[in-house]
Amino acid sequence: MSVQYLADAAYREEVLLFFSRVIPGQVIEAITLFATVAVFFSLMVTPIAAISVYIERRLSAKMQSRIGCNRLGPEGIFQMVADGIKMISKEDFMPQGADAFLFKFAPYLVMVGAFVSFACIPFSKQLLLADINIGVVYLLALSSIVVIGIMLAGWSSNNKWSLLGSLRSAAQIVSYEIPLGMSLLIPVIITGSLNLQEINQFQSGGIHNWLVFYALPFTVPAFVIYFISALAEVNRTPFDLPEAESELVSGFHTEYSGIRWGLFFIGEYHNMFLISCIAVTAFLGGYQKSAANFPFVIVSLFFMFFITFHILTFLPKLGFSLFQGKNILDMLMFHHPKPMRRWLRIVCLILAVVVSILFYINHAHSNMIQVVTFISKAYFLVLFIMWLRWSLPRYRIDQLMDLCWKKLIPISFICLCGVLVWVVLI
Amino acid sequence: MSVASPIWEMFLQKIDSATLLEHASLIYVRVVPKDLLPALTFLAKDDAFQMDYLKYMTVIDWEDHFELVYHLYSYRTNLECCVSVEIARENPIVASCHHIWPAANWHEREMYDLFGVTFSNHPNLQRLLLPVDWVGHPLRKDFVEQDHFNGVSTTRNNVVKLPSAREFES
Amino acid sequence: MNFETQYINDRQMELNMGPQHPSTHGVLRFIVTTDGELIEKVVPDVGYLHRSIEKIGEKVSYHGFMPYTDRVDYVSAMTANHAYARSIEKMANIEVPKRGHYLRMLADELCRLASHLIAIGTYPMDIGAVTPFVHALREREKINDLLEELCGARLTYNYMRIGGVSFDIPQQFVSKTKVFLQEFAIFLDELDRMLSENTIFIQRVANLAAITTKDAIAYGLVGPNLRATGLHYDLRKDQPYACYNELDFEVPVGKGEQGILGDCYDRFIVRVEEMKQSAKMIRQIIDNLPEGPIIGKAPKTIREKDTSSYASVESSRGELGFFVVANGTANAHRVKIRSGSFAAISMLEKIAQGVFIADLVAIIASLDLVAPEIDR
Repeated sequence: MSVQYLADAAYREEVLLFFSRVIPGQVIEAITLFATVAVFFSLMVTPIAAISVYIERRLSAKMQSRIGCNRLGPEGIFQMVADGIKMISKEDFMPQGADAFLFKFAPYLVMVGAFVSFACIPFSKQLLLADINIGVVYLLALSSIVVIGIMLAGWSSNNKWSLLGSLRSAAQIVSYEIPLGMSLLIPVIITGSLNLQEINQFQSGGIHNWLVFYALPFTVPAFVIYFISALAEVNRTPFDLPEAESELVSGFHTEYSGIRWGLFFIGEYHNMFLISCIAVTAFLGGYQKSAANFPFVIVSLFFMFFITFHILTFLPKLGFSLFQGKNILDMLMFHHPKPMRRWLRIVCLILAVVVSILFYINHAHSNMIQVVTFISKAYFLVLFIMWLRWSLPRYRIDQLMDLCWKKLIPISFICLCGVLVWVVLI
Repeated sequence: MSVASPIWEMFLQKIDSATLLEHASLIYVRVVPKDLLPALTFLAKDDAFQMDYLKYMTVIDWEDHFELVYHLYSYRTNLECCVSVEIARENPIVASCHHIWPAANWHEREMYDLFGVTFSNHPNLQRLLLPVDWVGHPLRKDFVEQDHFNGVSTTRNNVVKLPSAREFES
Repeated sequence: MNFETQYINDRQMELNMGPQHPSTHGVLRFIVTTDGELIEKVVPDVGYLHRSIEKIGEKVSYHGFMPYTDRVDYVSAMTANHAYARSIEKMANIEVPKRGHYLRMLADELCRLASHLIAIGTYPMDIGAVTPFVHALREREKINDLLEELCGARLTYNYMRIGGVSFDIPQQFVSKTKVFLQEFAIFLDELDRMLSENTIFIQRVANLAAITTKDAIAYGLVGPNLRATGLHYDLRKDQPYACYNELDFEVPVGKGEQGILGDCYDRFIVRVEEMKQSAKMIRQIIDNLPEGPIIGKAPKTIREKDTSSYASVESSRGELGFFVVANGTANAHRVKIRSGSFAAISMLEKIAQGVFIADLVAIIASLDLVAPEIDR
């Protein structure tokens, strides 16, 4: 079902004719637009951020040979709900001497930068909240709002350590916007348009059309530079010096607690997903159909089916154990036995392969398939970012700046010039 | 290295008033207070000794006097000795040796903190382990703790009374 | 009107890396004066963990002081036990049987592994890589399990007695230790591949706070910190005690592979190599454990008169020594504890000049300070 139904004037008139007698038309327009945006975000983007938190905990645990959170709910999937309730119910305090308005306002700025950027990212051919003709410029502009938010957060905390963290972060983000912009210029040059939807359309028809392979010696480094700069933009390891845990307790969000900190926290995961989405849209083919989508789609479907089956298998066990008198809590915390895992895996794998073949065949007709393709590719990058966080140590601030100004910017210049030459000559 | 080796003979010639003892295979050089700094400088700088490593410094509180002990070691000549000097208990002042071994800086601060021995020419003679506003020198034998420290009482009623008194509770 | 002019220093910022701090090195406080991010002065403020163990030594008997020595360095507690036991045995001329010596060496080397695991684990964690910490603690848990079987405790063992050790090895201890050593070799190999050649780690850590041997000796630095500066000195080789001369091992010395000799990278590598050598030693010990009694004859109450003694062992942080003075009563007259972290932290003011705040954390972690040793 396309989102445009809700924005279609005729449809709206039919459904909301009742209200129009009571409330004027423009207010209805505003409300429906608001509802559209809210539905879009709550269905599409926020669950992904919430799942990212859970997955980060389980993935990091897997990499560190431990189990991770598995208490609440089967395999711990209700942990995020519990965390959300905890954050909302915490005491709302401010440090003494903190600037009240700025302290309260700063998290919203950081969140806005992440949330609003999703407006121009095409999840499928029709599922695009705002078809902005200057999409790339819009994205770069919003990352600067995040800088203001971070600086406000550090300054208004009345804490020298937070100030240090926020200043480091501001310097880092502003510096890394340059290689980010330059490497995002490369798809713009190749496709001739700043519109993200058109950049996506350019890459249709198979993996050989992906922009990352367009001018091979220049676009592959461009993708890598984009990825590194984007990591620095969202303060993610190895560039997480502003929130370095061992020196500044949490950097610029040390003094925040409860839902205020929760907004920073969720904002970080939204940012991670955002930069992956931009990477996929600009370089890796977006939602277009190609054989390379197979592995990503298989993995995400496999994952989804596995979790669903896993949860479902608890239900019959629930029934049996109620009869046998076992404690439900014991049963929920029990790690499933091996034979069940094996056949579960095989079934899920076969199902995933079948479904992804179906996806490939029917791609052009369905929004949902395109969305699944897009999200699975973007999520793969998110998992890669998480992997990096738990393996690498972090850079010191001067080494970070050195990397940006002395290494990334010259290389991205060279890539830019190379692509220019390539586009003109070839 | 035993006490009777020629190296120590040479030392005794240089510093007349020193006496040598040996306890548990460790050589003790007892000097008088006026010879302390020359003896330490000699042991550190002389080619035969070259005691460049000050392991630690400590003060032993005999009831009527303090005994200051410096434990020295040389990596090059493998010589090891303890230089000890007896100083008065009231108003003990000793010359600092931090210009010979920078390690003495913190050891002297600790001695000042715990025993009250003042070291002259010390760059920063402040309390090290105890808070700056503590009163008294705890490792002295006659130390009595103050009743209150910054408003908090330093005694507590013994909540648990054991049925049998054991020797390590005295 | 008479105005007093006051010079307000608005160029420098005074920060307090307080006693509660995410860097897990114990309760230490540093008052840092910085010019932006560059540090101009670091003043360590110690004493938060001062329990006056030395004064307690004057109140309890010689035998009864043994549990207190555990608390001097609770990260590798057996070495402190060993040093104190050696000091009293020297003073009272008590013989320790050979099996007792071997069991003491076994306990020492296991504790050295445990302590270096914490050092190697928390060092990358302070720099940003969190995963090695979890793996290192997993290995330390295995060592804790082994030591729990040996003496009943996981952290403060109170295993050694004056004259030997208290318990003999239980059944299957040897086979469990061999299994542990195999897994440990795999862990060390992974750690080497992940950290020792990691570009980011080397960039953070090399050429940082290089200490020359002359400075190190002058400040009394010992242990792996001293060996990283290039000096080949280890108490187990140069003044061997407890049958160490029967074991075959090398002493790793810093070579300045990735930067100046004596920098933080060397201190890290020396500890990793020491862990390899300790594993080798443990294998030799459990293969050649002699038969016999585990404790020698020691009087129930030790009363010595007019004597004093000093004995030290090579603990994970260097020379840990006990200087005991006797006065004829059942208790000691003075117990003085000499530890390696005390000298290391006194050097901090000198070597942490002109570095970034992020570097300060790396330097403190590389020196492997534990607060209980400093404060006693």
